[in-house]
Amino acid sequence: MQISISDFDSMIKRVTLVGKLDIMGAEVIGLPLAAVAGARGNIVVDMAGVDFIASIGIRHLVMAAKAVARGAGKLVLLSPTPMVTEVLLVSGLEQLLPIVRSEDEARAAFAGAGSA
Amino acid sequence: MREVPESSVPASTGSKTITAETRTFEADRVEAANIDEWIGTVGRQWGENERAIFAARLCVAELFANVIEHGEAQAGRDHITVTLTRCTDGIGVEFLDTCARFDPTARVIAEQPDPRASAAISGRGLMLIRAYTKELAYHNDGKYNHITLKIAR
Repeated sequence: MQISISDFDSMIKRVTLVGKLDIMGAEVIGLPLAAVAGARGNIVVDMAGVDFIASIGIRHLVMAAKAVARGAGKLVLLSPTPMVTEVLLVSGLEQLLPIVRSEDEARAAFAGAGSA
Repeated sequence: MREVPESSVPASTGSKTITAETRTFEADRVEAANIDEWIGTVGRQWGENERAIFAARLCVAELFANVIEHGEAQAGRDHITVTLTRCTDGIGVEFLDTCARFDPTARVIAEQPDPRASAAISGRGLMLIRAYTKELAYHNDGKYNHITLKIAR
Protein backbone atom coordinates (compact mmCIF):
# COMPACT_ATOMS: atom_id res chain seq x y z
CA MET A 1 0.00 0.00 0.00
CA GLN A 2 1.22 3.45 -0.90
CA ILE A 3 -0.24 6.74 0.29
CA SER A 4 0.54 10.18 -1.04
CA ILE A 5 -0.91 13.51 -0.06
CA SER A 6 -1.21 16.55 -2.31
CA ASP A 7 -3.45 19.54 -2.93
CA PHE A 8 -6.66 18.80 -4.81
CA ASP A 9 -7.15 22.55 -4.93
CA SER A 10 -6.39 25.39 -2.55
CA MET A 11 -9.05 24.27 -0.03
CA ILE A 12 -9.12 20.51 -0.50
CA LYS A 13 -6.52 17.81 0.13
CA ARG A 14 -6.11 14.80 -2.11
CA VAL A 15 -5.06 11.52 -0.53
CA THR A 16 -4.08 8.96 -3.16
CA LEU A 17 -4.05 5.32 -2.12
CA VAL A 18 -2.56 2.53 -4.22
CA GLY A 19 -2.57 -1.15 -3.31
CA LYS A 20 -4.42 -3.39 -0.90
CA LEU A 21 -6.27 -1.86 2.01
CA ASP A 22 -5.96 -4.97 4.16
CA ILE A 23 -4.43 -5.46 7.61
CA MET A 24 -0.99 -4.40 6.38
CA GLY A 25 -2.27 -1.60 4.17
CA ALA A 26 -4.27 -0.22 7.07
CA GLU A 27 -1.07 0.03 9.10
CA VAL A 28 0.56 2.05 6.35
CA ILE A 29 -2.22 4.60 5.94
CA GLY A 30 -3.25 4.90 9.58
CA LEU A 31 -1.02 7.73 10.77
CA PRO A 32 -0.74 9.86 7.62
CA LEU A 33 -4.48 9.68 6.96
CA ALA A 34 -5.25 10.58 10.56
CA ALA A 35 -2.85 13.53 10.33
CA VAL A 36 -4.56 14.92 7.22
CA ALA A 37 -8.00 14.34 8.71
CA GLY A 38 -6.92 16.06 11.90
CA ALA A 39 -6.61 19.31 9.98
CA ARG A 40 -10.37 18.97 9.43
CA GLY A 41 -10.42 20.33 5.90
CA ASN A 42 -12.16 18.66 3.00
CA ILE A 43 -10.48 15.54 1.65
CA VAL A 44 -10.72 13.61 -1.61
CA VAL A 45 -9.44 10.07 -1.19
CA ASP A 46 -8.46 8.83 -4.64
CA MET A 47 -9.33 5.13 -4.52
CA ALA A 48 -8.81 4.23 -8.17
CA GLY A 49 -5.59 2.39 -7.34
CA VAL A 50 -7.03 0.37 -4.45
CA ASP A 51 -7.73 -3.13 -5.71
CA PHE A 52 -8.80 -4.66 -2.39
CA ILE A 53 -10.40 -3.42 0.81
CA ALA A 54 -11.32 -5.15 4.06
CA SER A 55 -13.09 -3.90 7.16
CA ILE A 56 -9.83 -2.94 8.84
CA GLY A 57 -9.16 -0.53 5.96
CA ILE A 58 -12.71 0.78 6.04
CA ARG A 59 -12.19 1.51 9.74
CA HIS A 60 -9.46 4.03 8.94
CA LEU A 61 -11.56 5.73 6.29
CA VAL A 62 -14.46 5.97 8.74
CA MET A 63 -12.26 7.44 11.45
CA ALA A 64 -10.88 10.00 9.02
CA ALA A 65 -14.35 10.94 7.80
CA LYS A 66 -15.52 11.43 11.37
CA ALA A 67 -12.54 13.61 12.20
CA VAL A 68 -13.16 15.77 9.15
CA ALA A 69 -16.87 16.00 9.92
CA ARG A 70 -16.10 17.34 13.39
CA GLY A 71 -14.69 20.39 11.64
CA ALA A 72 -17.73 20.62 9.37
CA GLY A 73 -15.68 19.25 6.49
CA LYS A 74 -16.29 16.29 4.27
CA LEU A 75 -14.39 13.30 2.96
CA VAL A 76 -15.32 11.72 -0.36
CA LEU A 77 -14.00 8.64 -2.13
CA LEU A 78 -13.02 9.16 -5.75
CA SER A 79 -13.46 6.36 -8.29
CA PRO A 80 -13.18 3.16 -6.28
CA THR A 81 -13.17 0.02 -8.44
CA PRO A 82 -16.47 -1.84 -8.83
CA MET A 83 -15.51 -4.56 -6.35
CA VAL A 84 -14.27 -2.08 -3.75
CA THR A 85 -17.43 -0.04 -4.31
CA GLU A 86 -19.53 -3.13 -3.61
CA VAL A 87 -17.75 -3.70 -0.29
CA LEU A 88 -18.36 -0.08 0.71
CA LEU A 89 -22.02 -0.26 -0.25
CA VAL A 90 -22.53 -3.56 1.56
CA SER A 91 -21.03 -1.86 4.61
CA GLY A 92 -23.77 0.76 4.45
CA LEU A 93 -21.43 3.73 4.46
CA GLU A 94 -22.79 5.81 1.60
CA GLN A 95 -23.62 8.72 3.92
CA LEU A 96 -20.35 8.87 5.79
CA LEU A 97 -18.15 7.90 2.84
CA PRO A 98 -19.81 9.26 -0.29
CA ILE A 99 -18.51 7.94 -3.58
CA VAL A 100 -17.87 10.25 -6.53
CA ARG A 101 -16.81 9.31 -10.04
CA SER A 102 -15.01 12.44 -11.22
CA GLU A 103 -13.14 15.45 -9.89
CA ASP A 104 -16.03 17.70 -10.88
CA GLU A 105 -18.39 15.49 -8.92
CA ALA A 106 -16.02 15.72 -5.96
CA ARG A 107 -16.08 19.53 -6.08
CA ALA A 108 -19.85 19.48 -6.29
CA ALA A 109 -20.01 17.21 -3.25
CA PHE A 110 -18.09 19.80 -1.25
CA ALA A 111 -20.42 22.61 -2.16
CA GLY A 112 -22.07 23.53 1.08
CA ALA A 113 -19.61 21.57 3.20
CA GLY A 114 -17.17 23.44 5.38
CA SER A 115 -13.70 24.12 4.06
CA ALA A 116 -11.77 24.84 7.23
CA MET B 1 6.23 -30.96 9.46
CA ARG B 2 3.10 -29.61 10.96
CA GLU B 3 0.10 -31.87 11.36
CA VAL B 4 -2.72 -30.63 9.19
CA PRO B 5 -6.14 -31.61 10.50
CA GLU B 6 -8.60 -33.31 8.26
CA SER B 7 -10.79 -30.96 6.30
CA SER B 8 -14.34 -30.62 7.48
CA VAL B 9 -15.79 -28.48 4.72
CA PRO B 10 -19.47 -29.41 4.70
CA ALA B 11 -20.81 -30.55 1.38
CA SER B 12 -23.91 -28.69 0.34
CA THR B 13 -26.81 -30.71 -0.87
CA GLY B 14 -26.11 -31.43 -4.50
CA SER B 15 -22.62 -29.91 -4.34
CA LYS B 16 -19.68 -31.91 -5.59
CA THR B 17 -16.01 -31.24 -4.95
CA ILE B 18 -13.93 -30.83 -8.07
CA THR B 19 -10.55 -30.15 -6.49
CA ALA B 20 -9.01 -28.62 -3.38
CA GLU B 21 -5.84 -26.88 -2.25
CA THR B 22 -4.54 -26.50 1.31
CA ARG B 23 -1.82 -24.32 2.72
CA THR B 24 -0.64 -23.48 6.23
CA PHE B 25 0.58 -20.04 7.30
CA GLU B 26 2.02 -18.56 10.45
CA ALA B 27 -0.48 -16.55 12.48
CA ASP B 28 1.54 -13.44 11.84
CA ARG B 29 0.28 -10.26 10.20
CA VAL B 30 3.14 -10.30 7.70
CA GLU B 31 1.54 -13.39 6.15
CA ALA B 32 -1.47 -11.37 4.96
CA ALA B 33 -0.02 -10.74 1.50
CA ASN B 34 1.07 -14.37 1.08
CA ILE B 35 -2.39 -15.67 1.92
CA ASP B 36 -4.06 -13.18 -0.38
CA GLU B 37 -1.75 -13.93 -3.29
CA TRP B 38 -2.19 -17.66 -2.83
CA ILE B 39 -5.98 -17.42 -2.94
CA GLY B 40 -5.83 -15.25 -6.05
CA THR B 41 -3.43 -17.64 -7.77
CA VAL B 42 -5.49 -20.73 -6.96
CA GLY B 43 -8.74 -19.05 -7.98
CA ARG B 44 -7.36 -17.95 -11.32
CA GLN B 45 -5.83 -21.39 -11.96
CA TRP B 46 -9.31 -22.82 -11.44
CA GLY B 47 -10.80 -20.28 -13.83
CA GLU B 48 -13.08 -18.82 -11.17
CA ASN B 49 -14.65 -15.44 -11.86
CA GLU B 50 -13.01 -12.37 -10.35
CA ARG B 51 -15.91 -11.58 -8.03
CA ALA B 52 -15.85 -15.06 -6.48
CA ILE B 53 -12.08 -14.81 -6.04
CA PHE B 54 -12.46 -11.36 -4.50
CA ALA B 55 -15.10 -12.69 -2.12
CA ALA B 56 -12.84 -15.56 -1.03
CA ARG B 57 -9.95 -13.12 -0.50
CA LEU B 58 -12.20 -10.80 1.48
CA CYS B 59 -13.63 -13.49 3.76
CA VAL B 60 -10.22 -14.96 4.51
CA ALA B 61 -8.76 -11.47 5.08
CA GLU B 62 -11.53 -10.78 7.61
CA LEU B 63 -10.97 -14.09 9.42
CA PHE B 64 -7.22 -13.59 9.40
CA ALA B 65 -7.50 -10.02 10.74
CA ASN B 66 -9.81 -11.26 13.46
CA VAL B 67 -7.27 -13.89 14.52
CA ILE B 68 -4.45 -11.35 14.55
CA GLU B 69 -6.41 -8.53 16.24
CA HIS B 70 -8.58 -10.49 18.66
CA GLY B 71 -7.42 -14.10 18.69
CA GLU B 72 -4.40 -13.62 20.93
CA ALA B 73 -2.26 -14.99 18.11
CA GLN B 74 1.44 -15.49 18.79
CA ALA B 75 3.78 -15.68 15.84
CA GLY B 76 5.83 -18.87 16.04
CA ARG B 77 3.24 -20.62 18.17
CA ASP B 78 -0.03 -20.23 16.30
CA HIS B 79 -0.81 -21.01 12.73
CA ILE B 80 -3.71 -21.09 10.36
CA THR B 81 -4.56 -23.58 7.64
CA VAL B 82 -6.71 -22.55 4.71
CA THR B 83 -8.36 -25.06 2.38
CA LEU B 84 -9.94 -23.85 -0.83
CA THR B 85 -12.36 -26.25 -2.44
CA ARG B 86 -13.63 -25.88 -5.96
CA CYS B 87 -17.19 -27.17 -5.92
CA THR B 88 -19.86 -27.42 -8.55
CA ASP B 89 -21.79 -24.63 -6.84
CA GLY B 90 -19.01 -22.28 -5.77
CA ILE B 91 -15.80 -21.97 -3.77
CA GLY B 92 -15.60 -23.60 -0.35
CA VAL B 93 -13.26 -22.13 2.23
CA GLU B 94 -12.15 -23.79 5.42
CA PHE B 95 -10.19 -21.60 7.82
CA LEU B 96 -8.52 -23.36 10.75
CA ASP B 97 -6.65 -21.56 13.48
CA THR B 98 -5.07 -22.42 16.79
CA CYS B 99 -5.96 -19.11 18.43
CA ALA B 100 -8.68 -18.08 20.88
CA ARG B 101 -12.14 -19.46 20.24
CA PHE B 102 -14.32 -17.31 18.05
CA ASP B 103 -17.66 -18.41 16.66
CA PRO B 104 -18.75 -16.05 13.88
CA THR B 105 -22.11 -17.77 13.65
CA ALA B 106 -22.93 -16.95 17.27
CA ARG B 107 -22.40 -13.21 16.99
CA VAL B 108 -25.50 -11.11 16.54
CA ILE B 109 -24.78 -8.04 14.46
CA ALA B 110 -26.88 -5.19 13.23
CA GLU B 111 -27.97 -5.42 9.62
CA GLN B 112 -26.00 -2.25 8.95
CA PRO B 113 -23.55 -1.26 11.70
CA ASP B 114 -24.13 2.32 12.73
CA PRO B 115 -21.46 4.39 10.96
CA ARG B 116 -21.62 6.87 13.83
CA ALA B 117 -20.59 4.15 16.27
CA SER B 118 -17.14 4.09 17.81
CA ALA B 119 -14.10 3.49 15.68
CA ALA B 120 -13.86 -0.06 16.99
CA ILE B 121 -16.55 -1.00 14.47
CA SER B 122 -16.77 -4.54 15.70
CA GLY B 123 -19.11 -6.49 13.47
CA ARG B 124 -18.36 -4.90 10.11
CA GLY B 125 -15.98 -7.70 9.11
CA LEU B 126 -18.47 -10.30 10.19
CA MET B 127 -21.21 -8.51 8.30
CA LEU B 128 -19.08 -8.59 5.15
CA ILE B 129 -18.41 -12.30 5.55
CA ARG B 130 -22.12 -12.99 5.86
CA ALA B 131 -22.91 -10.78 2.89
CA TYR B 132 -20.44 -12.57 0.62
CA THR B 133 -21.19 -16.16 1.64
CA LYS B 134 -24.13 -18.47 1.34
CA GLU B 135 -23.05 -20.89 4.07
CA LEU B 136 -21.14 -20.29 7.28
CA ALA B 137 -20.37 -22.85 9.98
CA TYR B 138 -18.11 -23.13 13.01
CA HIS B 139 -16.86 -25.75 15.41
CA ASN B 140 -13.91 -26.18 17.71
CA ASP B 141 -12.32 -29.63 18.06
CA GLY B 142 -10.35 -28.71 21.17
CA LYS B 143 -7.29 -27.67 19.19
CA TYR B 144 -8.54 -25.81 16.15
CA ASN B 145 -11.26 -23.33 15.37
CA HIS B 146 -12.86 -24.61 12.17
CA ILE B 147 -14.71 -21.99 10.17
CA THR B 148 -16.20 -23.15 6.90
CA LEU B 149 -17.97 -21.06 4.36
CA LYS B 150 -19.21 -21.25 0.79
CA ILE B 151 -19.03 -18.53 -1.81
CA ALA B 152 -21.49 -18.66 -4.67
CA ARG B 153 -20.12 -18.47 -8.17
